[in-house]
This record gives sequence, C-alpha cells and structure tokens, in this order.
Amino acid sequence: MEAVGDGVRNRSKSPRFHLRVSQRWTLALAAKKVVGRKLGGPKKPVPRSVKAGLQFLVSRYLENGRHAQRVGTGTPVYLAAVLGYLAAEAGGFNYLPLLDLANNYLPPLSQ
Amino acid sequence: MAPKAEKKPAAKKPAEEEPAAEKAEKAPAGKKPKAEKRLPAGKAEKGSGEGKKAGRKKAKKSVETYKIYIFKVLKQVHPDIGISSKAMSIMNSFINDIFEKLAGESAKLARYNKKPTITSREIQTSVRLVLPGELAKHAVSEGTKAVTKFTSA
Repeated sequence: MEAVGDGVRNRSKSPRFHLRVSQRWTLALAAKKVVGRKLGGPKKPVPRSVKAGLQFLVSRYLENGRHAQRVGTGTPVYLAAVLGYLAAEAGGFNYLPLLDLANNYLPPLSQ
Repeated sequence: MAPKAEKKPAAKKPAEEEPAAEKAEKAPAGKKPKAEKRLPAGKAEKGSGEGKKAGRKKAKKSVETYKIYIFKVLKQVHPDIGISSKAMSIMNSFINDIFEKLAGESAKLARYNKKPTITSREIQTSVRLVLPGELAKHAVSEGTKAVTKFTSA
C-alpha cells in the first residue's frame, strides 16, 4: 500500500520510482512462480523395495488376502525383509533341516 | 519350547562379495541339487511395486510368482550358481507357505487385541512365534533394519 502510494505521489517527479515499483512486483511474481513450481512439482516415483534396500517386492499381498481391515505402512517392508532373509537362508545351504524345524515346532498358544 | 541351539548350521547373512575359497567350500556342501545352467528368463512377470497374490489370477493372463525375486537373492548369496526350474518351484512354494503362516498369525494377533490394523509390530511378534530360535532372531533384525532404512529414506 505504501509502495503504491509512494509511486503515485512521486510519479510526477521522476519515472525511476515507478520503474522500481514495477520491478518489485515482477520479482515477487517470479519468485512465487518458482516457489510454486518447486513445491508442487511432481516427484519421480521410487519403488519401496529400493527405498528399503530389499530384493523382494513390497506390495499389497496382505490387503488382497483380507487378513485384516487395515495394513500399516511398515508392515509389507518388514514382511518382505523376513521373506527375503528366509529365501537366502534356504537357498544358500541345507534345506531339509529348515523344513524339519519349521514343521515340528509348535507355536505356543497366544494369550 | 524349542531350545535355541536347535539350529545346527551357522546363520549366514547374504554377502555381496565372498572369497573364492569359501565359495568352493560351500558349494559342494549344499545337499540340495542345483543345475549349473541358468534359468531362462522367458517368463514375463510383473516387476512393479504393487502386485496381487500369486495363484489368485490363474485363469487370467498373468501369473504372479516370487521367482525373479528368489533369483535376485540367489545372485546376492552365490553370484555364480544357477537354479533348476523344479528347485525354483520348490522355493516359490516355500515362500508362499511362510507368507501364509505369518499373515495368518498376524491376523489372529490383530483380532485378539481388537485392532483392525496389521502393523510391523504384529509381523514381528508373528515371526517370533512361527520361526524357531536363532532363525527368529536374525529375521527380526533383518526386518527391523529394513523398516529403519525405509523410514529414513
């Protein structure tokens, strides 16, 4: 408001002040455009497997299987890590002892 | 309860680089038969981050499996060893089996606590319940590491 007022008052004296006012508005608009462009710009989608450093895919298996109504954000990441680790274990060396352990072990009753 | 010393072979994490001496020692020690030839990459599968359960869309065009991911993990552990198609099918069945066990246990835990959400905490508890001994310890550390890296990135 004051700037515009100053511009109006000093218009008769010298045209430089008028130019300065217009320059300020132009810079403000340019800055707004740049900031808006940076903030609102679309980011490239990064797969969650790469983000977590895993080889197994991070996906929505839990949701499609209808195991629960909702699934947390870290849940598929954790599950993918566990499955990848088990694949490395079983694929790396002996396989039958792992099967024996898994089948013979009875989990305790929950609560 | 199963004793923690039940698991006889030492737990080994996937190492990207291994000495040649260790490779020669470990490769013949594996009892699972492996063919030296590589699996052909003729099967086109979805590599995207979002997919659906394997076997559910069997009548439709695409069948989704874990085979490419199992191959990636194998290249991490043993870069110069291949895997036969029958062995790959066995590994795929194994992964599906473990997935069903963990997901079922997580669903039960969520139901017992009257919560509609399966979080990473439910998965962690399920891993401790389903997997025995040292295997559960290492699996929990792997999962925690992955979630930490995921949140920080």
